[in-house]
Amino acid sequence: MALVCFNASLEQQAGCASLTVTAQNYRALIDELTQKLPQLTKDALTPLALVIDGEIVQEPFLADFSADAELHFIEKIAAG
Amino acid sequence: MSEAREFKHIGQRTIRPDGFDKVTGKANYGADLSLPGMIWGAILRSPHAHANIKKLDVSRAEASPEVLAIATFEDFPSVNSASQIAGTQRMSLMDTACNILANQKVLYHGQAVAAIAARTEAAAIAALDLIDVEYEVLSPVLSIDAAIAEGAPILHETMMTQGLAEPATIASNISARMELKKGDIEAGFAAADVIVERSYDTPTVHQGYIEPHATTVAFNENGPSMIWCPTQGHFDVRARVAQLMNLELGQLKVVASEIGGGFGGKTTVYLEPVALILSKKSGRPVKMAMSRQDVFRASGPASASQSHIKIGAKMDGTITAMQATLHYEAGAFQGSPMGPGCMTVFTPYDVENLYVEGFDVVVNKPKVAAYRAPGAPQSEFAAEMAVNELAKKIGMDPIELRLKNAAKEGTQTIYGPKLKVVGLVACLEAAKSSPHYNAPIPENVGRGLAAGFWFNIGGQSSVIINLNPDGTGTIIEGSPDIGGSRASMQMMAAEILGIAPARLNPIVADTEHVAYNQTTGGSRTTFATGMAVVEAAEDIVGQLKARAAAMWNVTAEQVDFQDGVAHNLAGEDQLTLAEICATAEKTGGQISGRANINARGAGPSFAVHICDIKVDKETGKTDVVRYTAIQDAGKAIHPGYVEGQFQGGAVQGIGWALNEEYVYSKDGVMENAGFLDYRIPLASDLPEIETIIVEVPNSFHPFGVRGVGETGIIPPLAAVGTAVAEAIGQPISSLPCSPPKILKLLMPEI
Repeated sequence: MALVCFNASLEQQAGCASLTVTAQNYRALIDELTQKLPQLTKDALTPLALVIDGEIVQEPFLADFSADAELHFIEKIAAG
Repeated sequence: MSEAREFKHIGQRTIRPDGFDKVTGKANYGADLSLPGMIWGAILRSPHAHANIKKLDVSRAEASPEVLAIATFEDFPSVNSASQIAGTQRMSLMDTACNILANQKVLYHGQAVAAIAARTEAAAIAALDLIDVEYEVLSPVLSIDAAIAEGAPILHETMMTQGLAEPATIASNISARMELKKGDIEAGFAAADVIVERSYDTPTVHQGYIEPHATTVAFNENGPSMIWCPTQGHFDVRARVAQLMNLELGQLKVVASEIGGGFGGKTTVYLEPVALILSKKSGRPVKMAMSRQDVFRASGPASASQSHIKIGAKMDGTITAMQATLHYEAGAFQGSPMGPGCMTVFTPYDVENLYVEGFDVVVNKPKVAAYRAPGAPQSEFAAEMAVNELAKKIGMDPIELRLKNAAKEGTQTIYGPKLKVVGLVACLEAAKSSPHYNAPIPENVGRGLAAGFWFNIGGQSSVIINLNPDGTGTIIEGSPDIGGSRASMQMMAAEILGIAPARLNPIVADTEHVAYNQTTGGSRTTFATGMAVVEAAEDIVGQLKARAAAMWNVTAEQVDFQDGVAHNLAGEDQLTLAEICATAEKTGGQISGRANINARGAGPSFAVHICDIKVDKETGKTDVVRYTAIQDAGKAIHPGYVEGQFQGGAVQGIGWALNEEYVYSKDGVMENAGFLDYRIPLASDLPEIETIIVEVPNSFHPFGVRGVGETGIIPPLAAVGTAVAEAIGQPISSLPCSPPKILKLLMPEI
């Protein structure tokens, strides 16, 4: 099971600091998270980048990950 | 990628392909394009920092034969609240529109209110007097303290603070709050033997690009309208103008001129939509250019900030807890780089217990824009100053303290993920053994050292490489070249194709001739566009092998391609790249490779800087007497340009630390809107910036590139601040360390 860890700001919405998911790709992940945590909306998650085992994926729509991956949602980084 | 790999072109110091045109004045910048029938636009700007627009009457201007077109906010066909990213800042389309032409309210001195087009620039400026504006002047809010004070004038009546535990119910000048945490902060402080706690502030500063914003726009009813401008991202200019003007992307063609500096400040639009409105209304091409005053007063500077830092540590140097409260000015509209500031503040440290709270605060100043590593210089300045104070307090060398607590592979960051392989320890070791750090500190000189971290990013890049029948070629990319990237693209393609870099001509194409490219920023171009170049070149190698196979009547698998030569593994034959191109007519036509990628795997970059400063204690004047910038580049494709990025970042950071600041009157008028009074460092002010390139390869890039443009501006603020503190024997908590501030510290009675 992949582990999803929320930062403090998302934790406020999610109501938990982390949870495990069966999903192994981004689209399934969003579906599973919004089903398990209805207060966490797609609108809150989809503007964010996904970090998969330490690798920041700015546009994760087609991203896959392993069953034991560690996942984090972070603000998309752009910069100057 | 293999660390032992040897390169033929990568790592060389080749001649810059755009260099000759630039040094001879042939290169065309933003204000250089003139078109037949072209007229000029000029902007009427607000004389107030905060005011309601009671009346905007353009009737006298409309009646003037001199005036060919007028633009106001009403000319934006439709704007909604969909958010967009401008640099690192998220900004709504409505806010973007209001920032370009004010709607009912002005929120900073110099904000654009209306625009006029006339036959000459002078006529357009003169005609601005024909626009009548009636203001209801409001009290300006010019600092974070003033903005968050009880009873402060509210800039946006509908703005509620996002990110609070309970939804906000009253309007506030704080647009957003962010909280990040790791471990147990209270337990961390309880375990500490020593605590350092201090507040710091940094001023509003400008990127200081030498070329002002300028554009020439030709509206075309029957085809794409053309926008020519200096920008870090012409595809994003197209997107923003299209959104504002309710156009399809295909109705706009944006050409990126050469660019005289950007550093994040040219990642948004100011003049382009206005010029398009004026061009559409007048039926003529329109040129617009900002004056230097306009650039200071009405383009986006970097956020001023306030930071409160608390660090707990054991006497052996083990840091047990780090805590920060960070406030960032967003300017007139929400969206400062508070987020990345929070995420980066403590990332150089592997510490169990962390807590960061950040606030985005609106004030009556220009809307901020990105500036190299947006948000990080401010927060990391505060953290690094406190770490240096901690080192002094426990009597530990600042490098040893950092080595003891350094972030490394596996360190869990406060923003979540664990770091991959990173080069902070290598940078600290390089600093420790550097000639500078081992040189004695001269008399009356203070020495400071600081580290810095920036994420770096990947993103979308598209590249086409066309080969000619003689084996020369063109690299068509869409990343505006702001730091020598054309040379890097040449070298990476040459490395794959096995030909001399000079045989490939890199060009930055307009939005019609190459697919979408993200903005040049975030240290992404050499990494991401470089990956696209490599992929396009590898596409060509595949074709070259197939074409050679066709010539030899063997399969492509029977062809090897090394150093620009195809070898027939089934025989003795060889064909050079140029020979294959020369016969391409017979084997299927000319050869072209392409890549459209969304690059993943950007490698974070760490830097460590050392600064020696001498202070004249009678005048407060500072002189940087020695400076060394050490940074992990992953792999330096062109070491000369990597060193240039290190030096550029260092110099801008030195300016931020020593002299640069927006000085405002109590009415919110910037009083030093010119390079005579806004003091950026000149070459004559500084010694040669020494550089040490550390190379800890990023395994996600074919050559190991990390990207180097951002990180170099982060360490100077605390390296300089600490050096000044050491030189004068007083703690520094406020930038810039300008002569008046230093004198006040040395002689508080005067």
